[in-house]
Amino acid sequence: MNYEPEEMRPGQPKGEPDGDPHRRTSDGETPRSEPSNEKPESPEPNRTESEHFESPSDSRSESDESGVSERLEAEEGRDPDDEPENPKSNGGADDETKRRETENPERKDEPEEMKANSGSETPGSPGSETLGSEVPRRLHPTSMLFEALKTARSWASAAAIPGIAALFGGGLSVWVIALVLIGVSVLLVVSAVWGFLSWRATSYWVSGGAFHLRSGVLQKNERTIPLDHVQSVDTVQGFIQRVIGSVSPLKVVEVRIETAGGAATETDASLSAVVRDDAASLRREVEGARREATGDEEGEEVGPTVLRRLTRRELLIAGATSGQIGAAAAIIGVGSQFFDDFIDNFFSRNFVEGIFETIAPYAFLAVMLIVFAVGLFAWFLAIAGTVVAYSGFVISRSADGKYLNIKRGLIRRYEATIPISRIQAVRVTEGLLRQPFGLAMLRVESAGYGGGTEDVGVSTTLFPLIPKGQIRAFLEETAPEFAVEPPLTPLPRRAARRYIFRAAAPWLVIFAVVGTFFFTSGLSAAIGPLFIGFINVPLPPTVYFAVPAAFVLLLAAFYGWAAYRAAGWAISEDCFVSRSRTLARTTAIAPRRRLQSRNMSRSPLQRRVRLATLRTRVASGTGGATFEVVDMESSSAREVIERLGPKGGESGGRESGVG
Amino acid sequence: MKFEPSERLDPKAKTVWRISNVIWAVPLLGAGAFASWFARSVVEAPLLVWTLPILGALFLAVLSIFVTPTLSWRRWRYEIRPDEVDLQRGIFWITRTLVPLARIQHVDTQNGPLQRRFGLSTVVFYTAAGANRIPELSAPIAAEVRDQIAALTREQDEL
Repeated sequence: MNYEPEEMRPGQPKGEPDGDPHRRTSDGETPRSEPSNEKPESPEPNRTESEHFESPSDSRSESDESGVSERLEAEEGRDPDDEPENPKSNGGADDETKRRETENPERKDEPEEMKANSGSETPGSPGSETLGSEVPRRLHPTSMLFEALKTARSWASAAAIPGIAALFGGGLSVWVIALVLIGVSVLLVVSAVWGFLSWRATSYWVSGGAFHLRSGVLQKNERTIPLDHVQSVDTVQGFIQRVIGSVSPLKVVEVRIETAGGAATETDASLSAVVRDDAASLRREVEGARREATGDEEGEEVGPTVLRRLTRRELLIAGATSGQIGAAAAIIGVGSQFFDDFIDNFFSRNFVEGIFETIAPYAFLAVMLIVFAVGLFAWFLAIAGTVVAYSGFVISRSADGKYLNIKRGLIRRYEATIPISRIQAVRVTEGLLRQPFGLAMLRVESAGYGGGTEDVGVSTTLFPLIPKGQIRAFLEETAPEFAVEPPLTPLPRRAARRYIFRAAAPWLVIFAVVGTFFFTSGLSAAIGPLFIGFINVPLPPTVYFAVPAAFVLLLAAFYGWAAYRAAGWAISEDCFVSRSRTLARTTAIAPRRRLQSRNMSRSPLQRRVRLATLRTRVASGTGGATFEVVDMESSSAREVIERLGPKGGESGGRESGVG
Repeated sequence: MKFEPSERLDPKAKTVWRISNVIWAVPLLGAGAFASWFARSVVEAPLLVWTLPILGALFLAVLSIFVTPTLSWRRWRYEIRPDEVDLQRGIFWITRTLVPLARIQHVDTQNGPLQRRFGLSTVVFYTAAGANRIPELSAPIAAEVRDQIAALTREQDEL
């Protein structure tokens, strides 16, 4: 191993055409000299690196000691590939990286001589340092901005509710505004300082077959991710990074190093700001080392296969039919509270009353118009929300066919990687507005895999909008195990009564209570005059109670009936398929071997009519998800439970037939 | 599927449940008494209303101490089959649960202070979708069940 450097030297000047021996010396020495002059607080990792980081190339040379010169050629052969990607001032980065790898043992032999000039040299060439593989690197200084924003955001969200309460509770006095301004400026200063400190505290490097990330201002934190546990190195260009990129030549990206299949201790790492070229070289380093470790070189060329993209048209349709109108309307409702206060504070009472006076004769029309306008506004909000969340939705399959990769998001690109083998169940959700058009959304339940992002594999959108007819083909491509579409066995007729009763019962109770109150409290006498604007015929007070009550009860009963109609089940291709409706009609597909437990449960009333509720559980995230069929034939439930057991495949046929 | 799993819980389970329900009944009755007092002296509700909370609490306490332990014990059955664990429980809602041994990740036995006094133990087995338990087995049987599940789980994994 020690003779290696001798062999390598002749190659060196070739690797770097302007081969300045002075600089070369300093480069070779950098890792050693670093602790003493740039990062005095962290000498330890560097020491260990100089012993460990060699491992990939070491193992290579040991396996073929006589082939050193061959290897040299290989090394140089790779340079042209790397060169064009780094055409700028830091173009030598990869050469340097490799040279350092190969030269490393040399340092053990002759450290004294080199240390002499390195001390004065290193500070002079910071550009080369930031790119060295084993040297702790800092993030790009714009990371301060991101850290500051993150801090500001978390503080601001903590202060938002009391702040808003103070604003509206205390009125918009000068003092309140001044207080808020002071608060905001303190927040800004503190976040800026925190941003700087955390930038200074953060460094990362690759060595000893692992990626290291050191961070933390008060509590120092060092995270080590073994390279063979790294599943992907993703570069993400967030909104701010894009803005920076568009106003300046600086291309900064966020780098996310993701792991999969690991325990909770192996969390992912995220580097908030890295120059794009650095990110590319980091990715090569990590992935290169990984490939060497696994010994598969050709995997490099085959990229992921894009399976499906959400077109702009589909995106808009998805928004228009998302059924988020309710949620959006609620937001508007909350907003209107503030609007009320706003009107009270800024317009004179006379003005407001004047407006009401003018509207009064057309009150009914005005109310309808307002309802319509709010509905329309909510609808647009819903579309906007969907566009922001699902814009540019792309699902692709990794080259090895083991992972699905999902990218989406307009302002912030969100990425999820799902190991196909960990998908436990697929849900097909047909929303109220989508079912009539034969459209559905696909979600997957996947078992927990280490990760720190918001939805930890619990339940992920596989595709936001897809025509029902294409689902099977799409699943065939993405998760073939789940590509079944059997005809479902409906529930027996006597279950319909139970469904309708269950839907209506809570309303019966509510109306009983409200009705008692209505007729005993004198409200019944007072309600008539309230409607004088709309209804000019005097009506008995009972009507005001009975009509809406009957309407709601009918609606509830219809809902119960619709839920009964939707419900069904089937066993096909070793998958249990169950369907139910809670507003949206949801079909769950779970393979028999993914079922963690099955149970059937019967209440006294169900026993009387020989019905049962069947539940199956699959793993999802860290817990589980339950799929149930309520009120199916008791004997079928018993049989299904049995057939979904470990021996189920042997007994009984493959297709379902029992009704 | 068999009509019912074969094994029952230890008969001392009834006593343990009764005692633990007595312990639970104390705060329940306290809350009922407070609600009744509140309704009577502060709200000044009629007799029919203010007696409701305390009577309700009393009813629940009596039911949970004298009735449900027996019913629950009678219903509770379990069986460790070569490929699955079969459980049946519930007083009004009878629930039958089947858990394939191959899905079981690990098995525990647990016992609280009350259980220890009666030499009882609970077997808890975990799958990726949550835990299931067989409560109130006599400690030696619980240990046996635990080892049996563990051994069968290993066997299933090897298949």
